[in-house]
Amino acid sequence: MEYVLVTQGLSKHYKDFKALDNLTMHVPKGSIYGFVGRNGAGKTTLIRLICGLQAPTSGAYALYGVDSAQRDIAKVRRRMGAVVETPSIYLDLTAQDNLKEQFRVLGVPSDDGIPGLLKLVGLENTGNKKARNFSLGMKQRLGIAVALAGDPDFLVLDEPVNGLDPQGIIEIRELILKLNQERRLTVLISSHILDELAKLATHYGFIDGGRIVKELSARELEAACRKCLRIEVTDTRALARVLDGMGVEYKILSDGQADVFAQLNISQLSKALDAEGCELLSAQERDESLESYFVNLVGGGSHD
Amino acid sequence: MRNLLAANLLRLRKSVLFWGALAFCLGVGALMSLQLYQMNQYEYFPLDGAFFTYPIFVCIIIAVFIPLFFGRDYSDHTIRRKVAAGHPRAAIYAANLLTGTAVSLLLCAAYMAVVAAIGIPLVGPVSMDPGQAVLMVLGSLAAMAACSALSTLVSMACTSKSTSAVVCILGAFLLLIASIYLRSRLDAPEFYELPWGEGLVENPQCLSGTQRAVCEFVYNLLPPSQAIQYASRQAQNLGQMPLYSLLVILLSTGAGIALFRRKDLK
Amino acid sequence: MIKLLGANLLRFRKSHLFWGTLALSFGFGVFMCVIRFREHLDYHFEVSLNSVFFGYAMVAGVILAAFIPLFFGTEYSDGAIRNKLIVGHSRAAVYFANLLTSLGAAVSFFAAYLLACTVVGVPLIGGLDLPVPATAAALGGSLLMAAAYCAVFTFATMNCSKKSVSAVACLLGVFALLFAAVYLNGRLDAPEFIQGYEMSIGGQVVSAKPEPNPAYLTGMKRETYQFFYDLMPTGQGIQYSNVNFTNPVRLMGLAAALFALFTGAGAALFRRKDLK
Repeated sequence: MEYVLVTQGLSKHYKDFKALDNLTMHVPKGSIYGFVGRNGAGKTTLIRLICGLQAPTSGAYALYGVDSAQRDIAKVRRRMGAVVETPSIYLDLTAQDNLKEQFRVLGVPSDDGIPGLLKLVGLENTGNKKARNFSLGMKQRLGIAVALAGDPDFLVLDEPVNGLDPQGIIEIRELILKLNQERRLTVLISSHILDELAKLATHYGFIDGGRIVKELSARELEAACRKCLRIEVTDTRALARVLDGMGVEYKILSDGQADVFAQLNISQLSKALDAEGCELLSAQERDESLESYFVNLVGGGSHD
Repeated sequence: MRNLLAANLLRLRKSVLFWGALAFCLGVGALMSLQLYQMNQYEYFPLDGAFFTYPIFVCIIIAVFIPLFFGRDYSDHTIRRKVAAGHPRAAIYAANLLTGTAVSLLLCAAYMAVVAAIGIPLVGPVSMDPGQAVLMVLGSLAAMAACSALSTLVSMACTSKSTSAVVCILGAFLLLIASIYLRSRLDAPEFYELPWGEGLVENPQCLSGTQRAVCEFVYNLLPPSQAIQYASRQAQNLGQMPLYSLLVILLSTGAGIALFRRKDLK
Repeated sequence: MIKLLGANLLRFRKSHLFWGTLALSFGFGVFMCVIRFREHLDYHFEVSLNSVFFGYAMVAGVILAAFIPLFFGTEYSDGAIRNKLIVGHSRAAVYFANLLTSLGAAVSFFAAYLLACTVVGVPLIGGLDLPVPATAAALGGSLLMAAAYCAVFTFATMNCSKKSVSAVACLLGVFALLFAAVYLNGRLDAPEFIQGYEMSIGGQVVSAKPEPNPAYLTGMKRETYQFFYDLMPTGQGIQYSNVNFTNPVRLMGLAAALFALFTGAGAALFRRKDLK
């Protein structure tokens, strides 16, 4: 398999804080790689490193097979576009001027592509409005347009739907899917909105404490995500006693809800609960979501 | 407004900029006192030379401190919190003005305290008449309050922290230089002597009539001009100048509040 | 780097700050010529363009100290510097492109001032009557001095991600150096002897012998003061604006050395800087 990005034991220390700790990851060519992690896990730090904004403390990474320490990396970067944390746009310029500016940076000879790019991100009607007067969502879209200015093969997006309205989120999702399917663009997206990522990603990398905890494809994730039965009862203590008696794996979610990770006979369950004086209110089959997979993978705990 | 002042005070306590400015004033005060003491080994120089110097550099410090400190509210968008919490625009402006003024007065007081503490044992007290000295101190503090008012006007009217800092600093220095020029025009002799003893000629640089009156008014009105007058102990209109400072404070605060009230915040 | 220069040039065209500073420089030139013309009318002295043509050298530092951090600091405050690095431009290319652009701006502002002196000054107060070598030295030296300023301010701006801090530091620094240069100039200009008293006794003028001036600098002290006065761009500015320099080659050499030092250090630091 060909990889667009490979990191090998990448570490980044700031004084006495380890932002990345021996991180190894692989972004396959043509994939939409969902980068999942808690706040402070190291997602943005990794993105800064691979974009050349910061140098790693140790370890290495390669873009399209070219090591970051090699001189040729500059040519390879020309094939990249990125939105890192906040959109990188000149607030005193209009959307069009911002793109013109980036075209100059890239050495694109003609400005003809600008109207198409603006239309692609939904900013074709901004006219002479300066970027400082844009909404957060509009700034985000302009940031993406700037990242696409060089017609990149590899797009890195750090929380791209941050600040977008629901319509905007759908539009950006469709844009990413379109670029991936029509132009075979490889996309690395870090996001907190796991449901949204689940609709996009073909591969996942789960990061925690500066390390990749797991990398797997969407297919592998689907297989790994456990089916369960979500049961609603009037007395979870009684339910716990019954399920312990049946010897099945379960998880109490709240005062009246539990997930059971086994095939159950509903009639038998209802009978057993009745004997304990507990009513069975509902039972629903569920697949484990990306969110719950992630939570199980990295554990619950502090939110920083 | 009390809450706003308390919030500003909390920020001040944690502000490296504030403590740095305070340390600078204390350091300069100590240095000036020791320098005066050294000069006194050869000839007597009273403490006045060091004691009243502060207005010139406090004027510059205010032009740096106020835009950087209050400009943070714009750059970090924290001004929204105050407005969203229901504080009127005028209260926010007034709280910032009072805080800035308090800081400038504190810096002056810190300087004077250090010069008094080190200078008096080494060189002796201020030689000026006590009543005049008190007027000088009060007048210079009023001038510093006027400087604060002008800097607050710029900082609250301009959402860019860096632009307001540049405007305040350039403004302070340019007004200082303009004040020196005005002083030289006001001090220009009425006649100058032609070479080779050919007699006296009227000096066209000497101001008279309306021109002189206007020049004098501007010279006494501008806070940096007042700073120079107090620092050089050449302030002649000790009764009038605080009134001029008050005028500057009222005008700039009025304009500032009016502008800030109408300002669209992001 | 040419692409980066093209991008910076595009920003100039759209920048109110650039055009405003250009207009200010032109306006300053007009102002200086008018002032000299008024002095000519008031004092009936003959004045020439000599006294204003290089006046810009005195204020170039202040103008550049305000312009460079505000213009190039925006790349940090708006995050746009990242766009250049992400697509593969090297740190050195970004640094030197900004330095060259700031040099271009400095030359533009200088040219605007000279244009004003030529267009307004020549009709009012006449032309330059300096020898060609002196004119060339003052012009070349002023440009090198401006280059030194650009190197120092670019060093500060590119290595400090806070636009306001770099603007304040550059402005305070240049004013401090200006006052230091004025002080050094005063000390170096102190006469060697002080004229003693003069009085007339019964129609006869009696004067005391001139006394040595204790404030007059000599020996190593004078050389040290002179060195720092020549090294500081503000000191050079005073000398060029008054067309009062004895060793233009030394001045130009020192300016070039400053330029090289700050550019080298600035580029090296910027290379290692972690950007957000």
